[in-house]
Amino acid sequence: MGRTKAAVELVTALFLVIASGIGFFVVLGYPAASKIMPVAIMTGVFLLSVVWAIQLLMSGELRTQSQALVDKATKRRLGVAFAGLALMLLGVSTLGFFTTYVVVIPLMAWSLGYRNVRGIALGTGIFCVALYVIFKVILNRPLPLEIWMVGA
Amino acid sequence: MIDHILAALPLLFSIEVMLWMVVGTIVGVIIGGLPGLSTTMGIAVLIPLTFTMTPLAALGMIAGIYNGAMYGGSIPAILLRIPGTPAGIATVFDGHPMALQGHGRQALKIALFSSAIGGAVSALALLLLAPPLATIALKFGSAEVFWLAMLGLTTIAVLLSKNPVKGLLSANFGLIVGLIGIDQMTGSERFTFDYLYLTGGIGILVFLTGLYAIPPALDLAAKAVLIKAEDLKRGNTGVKDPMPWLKLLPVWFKSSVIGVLVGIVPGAGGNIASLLAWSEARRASKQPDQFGQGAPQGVAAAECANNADNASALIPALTLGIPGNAVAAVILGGLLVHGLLPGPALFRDSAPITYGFMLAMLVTSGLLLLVGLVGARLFISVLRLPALLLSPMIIGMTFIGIYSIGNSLFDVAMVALLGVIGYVMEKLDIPLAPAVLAVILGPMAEAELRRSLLISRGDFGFLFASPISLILVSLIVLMLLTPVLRKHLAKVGSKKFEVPESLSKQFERD
Repeated sequence: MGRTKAAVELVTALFLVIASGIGFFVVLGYPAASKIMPVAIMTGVFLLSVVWAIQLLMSGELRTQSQALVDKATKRRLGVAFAGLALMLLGVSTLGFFTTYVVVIPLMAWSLGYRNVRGIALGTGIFCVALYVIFKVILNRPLPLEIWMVGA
Repeated sequence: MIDHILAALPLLFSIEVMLWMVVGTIVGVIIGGLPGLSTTMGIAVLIPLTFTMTPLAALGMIAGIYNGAMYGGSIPAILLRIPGTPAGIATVFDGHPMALQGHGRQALKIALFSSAIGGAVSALALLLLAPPLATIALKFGSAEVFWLAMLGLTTIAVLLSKNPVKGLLSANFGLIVGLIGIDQMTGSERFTFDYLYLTGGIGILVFLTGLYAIPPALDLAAKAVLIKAEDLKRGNTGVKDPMPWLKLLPVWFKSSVIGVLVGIVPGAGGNIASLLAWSEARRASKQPDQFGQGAPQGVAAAECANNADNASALIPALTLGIPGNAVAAVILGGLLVHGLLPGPALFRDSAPITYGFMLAMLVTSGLLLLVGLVGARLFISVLRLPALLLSPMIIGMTFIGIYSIGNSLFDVAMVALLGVIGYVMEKLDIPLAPAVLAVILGPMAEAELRRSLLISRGDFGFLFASPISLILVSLIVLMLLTPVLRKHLAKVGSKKFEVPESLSKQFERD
């Protein structure tokens, strides 16, 4: 069974307590005129995170909550979505935008459970053509060269 | 004021601006109509496209998206019982029963007219109320502006979250992001971790699109909403149903007023406006039992109020720099992208564009009627778009949009990272709007604080010297005490507002 929302919140609150504690000493090293706001913010985050953690510990939700924050089926699809996000990020920096989209969009849609091949092909095609028309033809924005165009 | 309006009219009715207003309205209806996509997401994704436009064309398109999306949310609410936007929840109560009874077309038509009327009344309220408020705000000194920014942050942080601690943490996250980069005053780096790319700071647009465009895309993928074709046919039933104009007129009047008033209150949104208006329409009706069973007045009240909330939510946003809701926060980001600093100075320094934008809210309400009547069938068929294919497309659109502005792959990576952070924040019920507002208001508040300390030679007492400052500080304290008051009021008022039991169960999760 996955972690409950309360458990995830507690981990987040504790992470923020530690991060803001460290951050406080880091921002103390800023020049006097630059540190007023950062010190106030770090103090604020530290105190708020402590209050958040105390709220969770006192509410009893850690004991009573049983439902996982993300259920099994959602977890699988979410995993695909995160992987797709990472692939797209990696792809646009190495292959170029359009090449990446032609590969990743169908891959992601199929992995998420969409099985209409014609729909995927048509949708991806229309999407890529529309993006090309908008960004290259109408807006004339400079985009990185596609991998198959490098050296051509 | 009249001079400014007259000066803005030729700009507004230029072919370019009109074209983008129509495009914005169409896109808005489509975005609002697709369950899972929000107005904020639509504007955030499309702001990069506006970068090369003139400011008024860009703002005209944003106005169209804003008004269009609110109406668009009614289409799945009526046909599928799925509100396209949170503000469409009350539309489901009577809209869906109407569709089931064979009056789907009439329900959609009522929603369209109600949205257009609500939007127009709200835009008029914006035009009438914003300029005088801005004149007052222009008299504020640096200490007052600092407290005003703090009040805005506190208000949004406290009111937009069930747990104010989470809202305030979100605001602090935004404040940190707003400070990333080189401090203009001392030249020292803050929160850059010696990373060259961060010395220039994180652009407001990168922050906005990351937080608002990626999480809905991830959510679409995770939820995988399925839509049946037969549900969509309900939009074409009841061809000869006449419009009950006389029954709807008083409902439109009341709901417009409710929507405008709710919109002005920071933190309250279209969902609250529509629920209140629906409740009031039922209370005032001679046949309250019909509400929840397919009463046309119910659809009219909900749709009129949620559009009447639109422009009025921009009143505190444009005049004080305090957005009334998340969409207004994103629109403030859009203003910044086009070099317009939200706040009272807008009305002085960029009057033609500011008035043009307010008029655009009015014009797009009219365009909504035209677009909605002409494209009714098209908008219904948009619901056929598969969510699982839309999800990667939204991510792709966001990436290319953000790259096209700064030619920076680092910005694209930041959008992805912020998207994941935004998704986690949403899952933990941490509101996003305070973070966005803090990115906008944080640097401004810091500059005004420094100015105050320079004027007073380091005396912090100067911040509390004027009566306006004291009033603002009192309001901040009051706002921080709101959760306690809210708990008390909830106990008292819980019995006053009732939603039909069968419907309330469905929306417990929301």
